[in-house]
Amino acid sequence: MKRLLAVFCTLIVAARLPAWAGSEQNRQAQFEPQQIATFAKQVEQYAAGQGAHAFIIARVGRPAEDLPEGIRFTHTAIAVYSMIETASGEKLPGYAIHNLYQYADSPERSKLVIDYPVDFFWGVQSLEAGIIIPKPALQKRLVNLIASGANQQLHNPSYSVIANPFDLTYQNCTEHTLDLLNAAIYQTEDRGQLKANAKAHFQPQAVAASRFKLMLGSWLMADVETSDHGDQVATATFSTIGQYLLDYGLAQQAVIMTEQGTTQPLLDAPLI
Amino acid sequence: MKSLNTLIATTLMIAAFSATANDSGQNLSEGSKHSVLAAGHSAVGGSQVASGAVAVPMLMVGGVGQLSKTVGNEMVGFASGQPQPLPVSDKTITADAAPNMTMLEE
Repeated sequence: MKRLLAVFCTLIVAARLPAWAGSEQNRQAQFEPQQIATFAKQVEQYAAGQGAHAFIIARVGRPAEDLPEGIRFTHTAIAVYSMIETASGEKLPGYAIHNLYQYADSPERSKLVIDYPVDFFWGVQSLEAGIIIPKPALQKRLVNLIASGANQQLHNPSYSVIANPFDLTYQNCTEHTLDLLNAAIYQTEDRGQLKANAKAHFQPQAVAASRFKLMLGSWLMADVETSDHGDQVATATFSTIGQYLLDYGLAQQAVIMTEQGTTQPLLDAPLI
Repeated sequence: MKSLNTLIATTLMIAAFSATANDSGQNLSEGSKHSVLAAGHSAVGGSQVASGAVAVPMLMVGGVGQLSKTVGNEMVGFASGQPQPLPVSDKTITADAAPNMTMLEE
């Protein structure tokens, strides 16, 4: 019996569960603080140079080799050009980033948090940014939506890192971003209607991991769920959101920015 | 011997799951982040660091008097129908620490 248990445990180890990055707020810096701050400001200045009042921003929170196939970015949010009042009362123009983050002590639950570019990129594994700038009319609707507090209404605090974007059971950062985009596009906050529209027009990313591994993950990790999926596990990603907006002519541009400040098209970029 | 096999296998399993299940690592409080950023900026003579408290979408801001003088007196962007470059502060803005994390620094 004990030998059988040992064999079982060894098999589990050999299964090598995939690494899930999730949406964590506080992570240790992997780069020098000034390097992160310079990169964050570069991203801000690029978006501002394009006249973006709202854009979708993404970061790389795990080493590329640890991520499932087809997934490059691990956390997605919406950046809004804002007047930011500091603790000292000064008013500064810049981008405030509207995130869905997991609770550190309860990763199966999430909250909406506003932070700023240096916070957003603080714990990244790679100094590169995903940037999708919607067309101006969609930007304006997004800003109005967030300003009205509708992002709170569209938030589901039950979190799964591989949430099914077509139902209401769980929600991750990319599904929340997709919901906000569709709420802006279709001018509705009816969640059922948003899901129906997404199912009709949005193509998620199939998760390239065996069902066994995913099931094991759901047993052992609080923020991994498979109960909201059918035969195929698929989730929204930054790249699939970019594809969605480009396909329907709703994106001004979708790029990846490097630490050197160069940009390349999001959808032509090879995975590292 | 059998117990040792079980112990080794169980230990390996726990180690493997720990490596993949939790990659949040050692947390750096928001207050510490502000401090290291401020120290870094001072060392290179760069821009200052500021703690952001409230953010209002610029499209919602009413009255040019509320804007910092660095923005100027004209709301750029959608007025002309074409995207226009927007000014951003040179300062690095970071989110304030949570109240309990701020108190830990004393």
